[in-house]
Amino acid sequence: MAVASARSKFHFYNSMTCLLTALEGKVITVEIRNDKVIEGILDLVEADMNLNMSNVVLTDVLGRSTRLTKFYIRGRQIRFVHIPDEVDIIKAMQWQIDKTEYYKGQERKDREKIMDRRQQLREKKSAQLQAREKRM
Amino acid sequence: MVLLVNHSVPTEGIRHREPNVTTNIEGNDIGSGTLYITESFVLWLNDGDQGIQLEYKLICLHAISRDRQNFPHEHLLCHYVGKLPGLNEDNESDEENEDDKESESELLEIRFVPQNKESLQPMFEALANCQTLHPDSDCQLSGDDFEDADDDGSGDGIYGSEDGVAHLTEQGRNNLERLNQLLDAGQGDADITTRTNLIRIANGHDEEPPVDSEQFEDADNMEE
Repeated sequence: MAVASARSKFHFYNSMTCLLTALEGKVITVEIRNDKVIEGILDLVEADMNLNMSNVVLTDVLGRSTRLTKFYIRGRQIRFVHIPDEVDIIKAMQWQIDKTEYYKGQERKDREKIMDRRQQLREKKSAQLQAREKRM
Repeated sequence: MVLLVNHSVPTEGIRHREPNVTTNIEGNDIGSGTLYITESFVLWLNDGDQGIQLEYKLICLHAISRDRQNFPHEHLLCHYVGKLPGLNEDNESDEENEDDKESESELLEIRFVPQNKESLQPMFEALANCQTLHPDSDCQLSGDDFEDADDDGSGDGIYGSEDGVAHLTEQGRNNLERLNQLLDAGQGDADITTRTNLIRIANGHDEEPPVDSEQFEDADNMEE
């Protein structure tokens, strides 16, 4: 979420994407279009719910399976995600949002510092101008 | 059999170029050529500049397969739900409209087998990065929703309405309050802008504007 557009932030807070984000690092099972099922480690969730996974087993409707080292799927293709039993859904979402809020807070503090510096510069400039005005 | 179409070699936005890639569509090899992963499309061209072009929105998944049981070579697998010339083109295209573009029967398995196996990882990543550049436009929410959410001063397209705030937990509300204060504290610009403008007017000349206007443009960007 380091560089996030308004769009991706909107999705993060207004869809279930934050729940998926909280599952990063876990082994999950995802049912996708075409009746295929994938199981593997969830590496990264993007704002549109696109998933980056690794060590995936892709099983089709006939039960044939393929092992895939790295895997990327568009969010739109996802039908269901099986949430591991040990995950408390509400807690996971809350935790993820709190974590993001925290980093956002930090980010704002940094921005604030930059703004302060700029403001000081501007004040200095306008003071110079006022001084010049007086001379005139 | 897929029809190869003439394309010009892409020049812009190339994220990855991989020579000596054998392409296999639904189990049929269509030859060896160069794979271009560009910001706008994926293009595979043989030596005669003929090949196939794939749209990102229609590549529903891609993966690195090192499993030789199903296919004898390590490859980059793409599931494509679009149409390719010469393949699944005529059978139902007249009656089906755009909505059925992704109907389940039309999925194509396309395998790109690079001669250099080390390239699989960068190819995969380039493809993933470019996919991110092409979000689904009709993804639940219209573009207006984002803009509205962003314009109301709450900053991040969240909790735009009273409704949204009401759904927050107490801690959430406190956080929001705190963050809003932080934001407000960072916005002393309007004041200084007015003042410097007044000075400029008082001076009665516009040459050498007192404050670099670019600074303010920057500042605005920061708050988005």
